[in-house]
Amino acid sequence: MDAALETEVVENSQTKLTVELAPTTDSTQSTSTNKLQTFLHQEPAPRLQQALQKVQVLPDLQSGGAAGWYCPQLLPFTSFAGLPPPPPPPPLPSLPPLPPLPPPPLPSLPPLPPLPPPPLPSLPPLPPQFPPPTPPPFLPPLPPHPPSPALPPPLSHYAYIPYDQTQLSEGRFIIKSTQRKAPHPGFIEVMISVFLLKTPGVAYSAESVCCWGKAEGKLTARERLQLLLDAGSFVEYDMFLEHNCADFGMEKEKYPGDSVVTGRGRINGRTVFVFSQDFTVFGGSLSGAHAKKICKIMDQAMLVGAPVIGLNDSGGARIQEGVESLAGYADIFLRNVTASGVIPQISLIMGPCAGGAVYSPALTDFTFMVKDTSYLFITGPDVVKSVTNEDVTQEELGGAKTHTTMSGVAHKAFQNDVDALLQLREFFNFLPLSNQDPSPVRKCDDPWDRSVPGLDTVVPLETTSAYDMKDIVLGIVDNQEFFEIMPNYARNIIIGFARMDGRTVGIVGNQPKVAAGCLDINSSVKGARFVRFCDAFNIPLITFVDVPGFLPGTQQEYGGIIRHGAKLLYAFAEATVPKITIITRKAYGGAYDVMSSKHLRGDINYAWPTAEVAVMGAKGAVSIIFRGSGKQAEQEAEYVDKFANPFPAAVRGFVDDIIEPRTTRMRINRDLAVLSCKKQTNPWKKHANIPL
Amino acid sequence: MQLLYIITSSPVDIIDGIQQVLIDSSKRTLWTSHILRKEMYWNDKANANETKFDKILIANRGEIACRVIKTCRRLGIKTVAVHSDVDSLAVHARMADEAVCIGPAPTSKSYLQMDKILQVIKDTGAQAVHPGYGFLSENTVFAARLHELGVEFIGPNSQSIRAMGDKIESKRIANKAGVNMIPGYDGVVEDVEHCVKLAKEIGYPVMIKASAGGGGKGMRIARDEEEARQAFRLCTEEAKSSFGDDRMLIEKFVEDPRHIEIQHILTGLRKAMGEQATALAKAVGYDSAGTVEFLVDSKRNFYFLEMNTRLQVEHPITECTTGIDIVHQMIRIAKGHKLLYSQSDVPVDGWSFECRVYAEVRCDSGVEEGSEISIYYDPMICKLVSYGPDRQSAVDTMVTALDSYVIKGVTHNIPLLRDIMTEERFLKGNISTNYLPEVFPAGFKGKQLSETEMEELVALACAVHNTETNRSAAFLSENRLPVYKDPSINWNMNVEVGGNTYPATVSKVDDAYVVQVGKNIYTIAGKVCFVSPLMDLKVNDQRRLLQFVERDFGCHYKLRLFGTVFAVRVLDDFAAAMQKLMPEKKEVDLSSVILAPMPGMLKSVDVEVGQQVAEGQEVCILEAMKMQNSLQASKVSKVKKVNFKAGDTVNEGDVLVELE
Repeated sequence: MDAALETEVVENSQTKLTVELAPTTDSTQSTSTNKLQTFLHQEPAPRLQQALQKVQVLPDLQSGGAAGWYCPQLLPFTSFAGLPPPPPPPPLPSLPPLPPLPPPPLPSLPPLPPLPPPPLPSLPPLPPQFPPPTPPPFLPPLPPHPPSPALPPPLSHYAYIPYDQTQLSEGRFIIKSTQRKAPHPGFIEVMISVFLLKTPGVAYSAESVCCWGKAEGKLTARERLQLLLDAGSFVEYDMFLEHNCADFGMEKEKYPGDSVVTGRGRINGRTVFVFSQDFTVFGGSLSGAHAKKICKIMDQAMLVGAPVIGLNDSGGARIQEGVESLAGYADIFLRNVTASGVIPQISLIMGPCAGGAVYSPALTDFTFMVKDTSYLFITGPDVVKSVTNEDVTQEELGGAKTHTTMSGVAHKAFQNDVDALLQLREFFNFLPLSNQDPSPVRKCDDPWDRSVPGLDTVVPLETTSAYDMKDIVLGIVDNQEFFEIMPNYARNIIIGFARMDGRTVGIVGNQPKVAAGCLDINSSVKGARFVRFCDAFNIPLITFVDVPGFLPGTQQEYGGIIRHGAKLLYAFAEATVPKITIITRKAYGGAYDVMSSKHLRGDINYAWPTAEVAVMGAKGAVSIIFRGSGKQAEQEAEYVDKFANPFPAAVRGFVDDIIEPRTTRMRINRDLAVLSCKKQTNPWKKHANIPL
Repeated sequence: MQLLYIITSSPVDIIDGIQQVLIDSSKRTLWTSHILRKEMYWNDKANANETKFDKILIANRGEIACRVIKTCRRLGIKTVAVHSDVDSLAVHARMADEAVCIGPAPTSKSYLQMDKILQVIKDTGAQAVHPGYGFLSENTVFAARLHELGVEFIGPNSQSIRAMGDKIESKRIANKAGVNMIPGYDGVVEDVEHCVKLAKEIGYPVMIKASAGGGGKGMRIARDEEEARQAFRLCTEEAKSSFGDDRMLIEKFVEDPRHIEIQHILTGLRKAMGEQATALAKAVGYDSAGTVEFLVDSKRNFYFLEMNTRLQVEHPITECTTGIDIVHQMIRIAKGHKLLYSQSDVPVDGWSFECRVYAEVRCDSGVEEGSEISIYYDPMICKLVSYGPDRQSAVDTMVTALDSYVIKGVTHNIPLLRDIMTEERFLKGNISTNYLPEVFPAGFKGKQLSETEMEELVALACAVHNTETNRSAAFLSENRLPVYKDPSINWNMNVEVGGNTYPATVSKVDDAYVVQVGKNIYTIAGKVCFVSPLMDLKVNDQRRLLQFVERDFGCHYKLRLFGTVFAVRVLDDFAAAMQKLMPEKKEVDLSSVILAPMPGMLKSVDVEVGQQVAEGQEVCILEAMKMQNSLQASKVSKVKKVNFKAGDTVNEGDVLVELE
């Protein structure tokens, strides 16, 4: 079933992807040129046009050195990539007008006869015998190339012309050279190719328009990384790595870096390893090379102890590679699993993610999605139709809404690419870099002992009426900033990250506003996974309790509420991070035990004056205790008097104190300071056996 | 029901239930204190050894209850508050020495329950009752029953209440006392048809109002027959639920009127109106604080409107300008003491403004942070009162106070109030009761920023964003992999406000931000930080009070400047360029659903499934904040679904009716 879908997607992308920017003599590629022309003719793509116009490399007159005119259309991406089959795609007509070596300082722009303004259509097939530019020594193996007869540029050229210095100015790129002498033209060509490869928004966005005519709003792999990471911080790995598939004509189609961009960078100054799948190359499909690149950064992330963020946008396995591709997946899965609990792993689904590919995000700690453009499913709608005869759209089957409200596969959905990446930056700020690091502490300007008078009145007088637990959370945490996880799934429990006096904390709270805040299967699982993440990464847990119990009913029992509920119990009991619990109102029955109670090694457990810790509510309790004899109202009153208050728990030491709600923030901060050096370990075990 | 958070930033504090804002000119800070309050009542006269009540019950809630309790405290009189169950944690209930719950939330079951209040009086031994305004303040039966108990009613005798409380009756008496009257029908309007007939006789526009009404409730203007029918129906229902009396009267609507109230324990167009006011008071044998309202038309003719036989909502203005504690004087009179003033002892010194700050747009305060603004009661949050030796200084103080007032959790009318305070016509004093429709013909849509003001907002947003960005990277606990610090000295930013994007360049020079927006440079001095929601900054040496309302993940901010909250997004160059490529998402088509604009109770649902509705046709009536809101279809369509029925309580944003 997987395969069927993947073929579909990949084929799709292939037909479009053969569109190339570089016209060459190669027969397959000239076809693609035609396709590009057709494409441009039929559907003017403003972004493509714009990108093409932008790229003109001007001589940098000030530095005295430089280049010549290069038109982007003529810059052979593929040539640079060095196609193994000999005639390396020739780099272009830039040739004739090129000044002889070493060129005299260019007088001014005009003298260079403008390149035949390259209307794509008119480009004749290029003479294949154009002397290939000297492949710089550091390039990936290009053994078949004859050593260039031209002067090999001295190494210093490479050293002195870092492409980082390339600037975008008034829509033109200027490559600055610190050398007096102009570098070897072949060198320039290489640098420009490299530069174009690395420039987000130019080379790839042009392609992306071709591939994604309609779906504007999907940024390219590099644009995404540039948005996600601090400006200028991205360090790319394996830019030149290529796939090594030789079947189905794949040997003729190679792209430097293959279908994923990998590397490391910083988010707000902190190191992170990233990969960003490139849908414009074979539909982002996963080849052996692709997997190798991802594995490389994951391995390094593990070595140094820094998180991995994956931006997923892939059609699935590279079918042409067969088992090689599947092996690639497994390599990644294995790393996902070994890295689990060691470094935080985050997946952001920004396009399709189907078939086996879905299991990598599923194994990571957090999976986020982009609304309307991302899909996660095991099999697509067509396969679903053929197997189960269900009519379902991609969006219904595996869209952001489905996964954030019904399946609970994804933790949050964002409006669009920009929103997702900017928010991911903020989310990243909450996480420690690894399990060896403490929960991050940030400078905090919210007074640690701020009194919150509003909390005194948040809990309504009638025990039956609802209130919003988020009001309490927002009142207590720093600057009212709460990054909620899974806000639309199992809404009867709220989980998320916030800061207390600058330190990241994990918040878990029953939500009386939804289903009275009871625990059911979904909320237990949702809570449990979050608690375990916090425990794994040294993030203190603050739990707000207002829980009337576990949800009764056949649906829940048949669904296995017993084993699922046990997960949350297990997670809280197992956690050794600082645990502070505030009982705001009801803490009934088994659910009281589960919610980070004193009995599960809660460090500090507070009760508000409105707290009621009991086995059950008055009505139910009375009917059992008195079996329907006597006056129910009186009996209920007696019960309420006895149990519907925090004292029975307090006199037994099950809550440490009964506190004025407005002092909650101050107390939590005071306790966290003390608990920051808490050390607690569970007995040695290979691993525990959580009831899955 | 909804929760409200009011954070009163430290310099302005809620004192005595009145938000007293005074400026210390030397420090340019807002402050207030009990001492000042005493000074404010510099003209309050009483004999040092006169007898006092020992205990007073306040049969009211909210700010007015707090106001009365404060004076009682000052005088050393014990207080008893009564409250409904939802009000058990309300400020007035906590401020009083004793508080007794008298029933559930609806006013008819609590604050209007005479029997229960009388029982509380007996139980607590209160010697007098202050009714505040509204509720039982003008109820003669209540006054009479108190009299039977031998308990003083702090207010006028029941005869004057009866005479003046009823608009129809009061008009008759005023007419006799030779007070100028508005032309109209001297009796009760019987029904809709009668209403239409009378309106025709008087000539449109007419004013239809509840005989028992007040405070703008149960009062509507009709300019044609259709409006008259609708107005009569809505007013009648409102009057019934608010006052338990649906008698209506009708009169000519005075065009371009200006509303003048003469609080006639005091002076007032001033002399002629003052004289008529006192004449009327004498005619009814008045013996407490009351207010005579007049309308003054564009030709400075004045007409008697009504007399309120109670402490007026606007009494702080009179107190500020005369220095008299009106509540104290009311209590003294009730105790049988004589007024120690002659008319000449009542000066009019300086100017004062009062802003009523309301939850939901349509300010002495009985709420504080965490108080709940219940749907059962009047949604007034507070009365904000400013005073100054001249009009401009009183306005300036008010502007500063409004800018400093931090309210979160509810929509409120501060943006409007703030805008009016700086509006040209208002500043000139050219005002009438038509002021709002004339100045804001399309309704108030938030402060319309001038180009410079917009650039200031952009500059401030940049400063806020830059502060936030720096904070985001200020990690204290990362020592294994060092945190890289951004070495930049200036940053390009793009600020999105109201659909437009403004590029700007920000740099930090010493402690100030220098922001270039367009060709202009703005220097922002002062501390940009998030400790308090209120930032006192200087933009090019002009004082600006900026409120940091909210930050949302993804570089979204809500900032309040010039009273209005602006949603802004600050992106760097690259993110802004990428944002431009993002397709616009389709919004949910709101024309096919009718949402509850606020929490409340459905009074009626006028349509059924399958029924054809016209654009603008009333679909249902939502009673919220004691006001009836007519919800209308926004297009011609057929009703697809009705989700609630009359009597249901709905939340803000609930879909009431779906159209096809």
